[in-house]
Amino acid sequence: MTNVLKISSHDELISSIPHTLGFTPVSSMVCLALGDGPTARLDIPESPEEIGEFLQALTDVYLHRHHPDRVALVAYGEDGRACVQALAALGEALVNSEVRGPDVGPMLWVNGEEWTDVLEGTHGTVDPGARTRIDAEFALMGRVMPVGRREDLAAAMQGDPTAVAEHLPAAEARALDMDVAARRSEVGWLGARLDQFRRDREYLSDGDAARVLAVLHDSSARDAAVLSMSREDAPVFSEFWQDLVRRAPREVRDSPATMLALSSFLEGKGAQAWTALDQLSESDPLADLVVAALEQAVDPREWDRAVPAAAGALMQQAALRDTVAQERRAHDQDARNAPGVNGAGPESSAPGR
Amino acid sequence: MQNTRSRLEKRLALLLAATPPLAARHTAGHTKVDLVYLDEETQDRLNSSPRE
Repeated sequence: MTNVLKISSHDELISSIPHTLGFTPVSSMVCLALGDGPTARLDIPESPEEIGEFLQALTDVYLHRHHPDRVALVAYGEDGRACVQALAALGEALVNSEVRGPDVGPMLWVNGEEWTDVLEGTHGTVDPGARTRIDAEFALMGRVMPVGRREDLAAAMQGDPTAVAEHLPAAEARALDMDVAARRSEVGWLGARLDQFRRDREYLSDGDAARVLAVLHDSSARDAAVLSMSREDAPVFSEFWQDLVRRAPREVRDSPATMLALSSFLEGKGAQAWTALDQLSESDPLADLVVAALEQAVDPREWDRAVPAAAGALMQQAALRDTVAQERRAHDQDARNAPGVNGAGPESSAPGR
Repeated sequence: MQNTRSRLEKRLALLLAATPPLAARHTAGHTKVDLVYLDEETQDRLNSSPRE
């Protein structure tokens, strides 16, 4: 571990939150897990009915699925009463649960630049110098500056599909005409193209974008794209898929949006993953898996471990099938070469075959 | 065009089903919580933050 800079004040903690989430939260509860586990953001509940769902969702994350040492709670909003009520209810639910929960603290209400430490009864204004320092540190780490609001994530997925649309009919016609060998070759091309993007970050030409969109309907192509991703390089692939989502005509936009949801999940960016899923026009099996992973608060490192295992199992199955097929061919060959019963030659057909 | 679930996706679904802790299954809801999994460096930085 090198150059780990510390967060030494509430000002710095508050200044780091937009960088952590990727956007500045509004009317939100932000739970920062210390030690282990994810950071979570959820809207501040506006009614007693919503409080139940709010508590259930967040206690599920921090009491059942993850086990951080401590959770810092930061409630954002103008409505101080709603924020403090949400802080108190969540703090109590985490501390007084039947199962051992994390320590809780600090508990902050943030309204604009003003903060209140609900447990300590202290107040303050976020120091602009602290904000500048934290911004600079994240920039030095090569991080993208956060967008203004969560809604801006969706706006960043909108683009102009006109140029790719011109190439799409020919690309789809070409894909439809492919035989098995050609399709396998096309899947290989997709894998190579993804590898190339990982190296050079050069976005696809309009023609190649249409070609990718046409082949993505093939499940083996999607599998190849899924297998190409890991948590480590997911940010690069999120750039790739987001670019395609922006440029894809509506009728073929679901596939890259699904891949963007997966890469965003692998990156650990839940809001971006949900936003990508919101772009879908109909259900999709892979998208359903990403939804399940998000809802079950699956750590993307688990997915990282599952994909090679899944791929390995499939390869083992394939190898087993090959072995059986080879044995069957050898058996058939032996049967053909063996002297037939009653002098029958290899051409004779044995009963039961 | 609706995509069908590939063999890889079916396998992933099985692994995913085995992932959540058993005690938590009954609480699975539909609330969309934005979860962020930090890289090690950022998590270390967060771990240093003071309680007060």
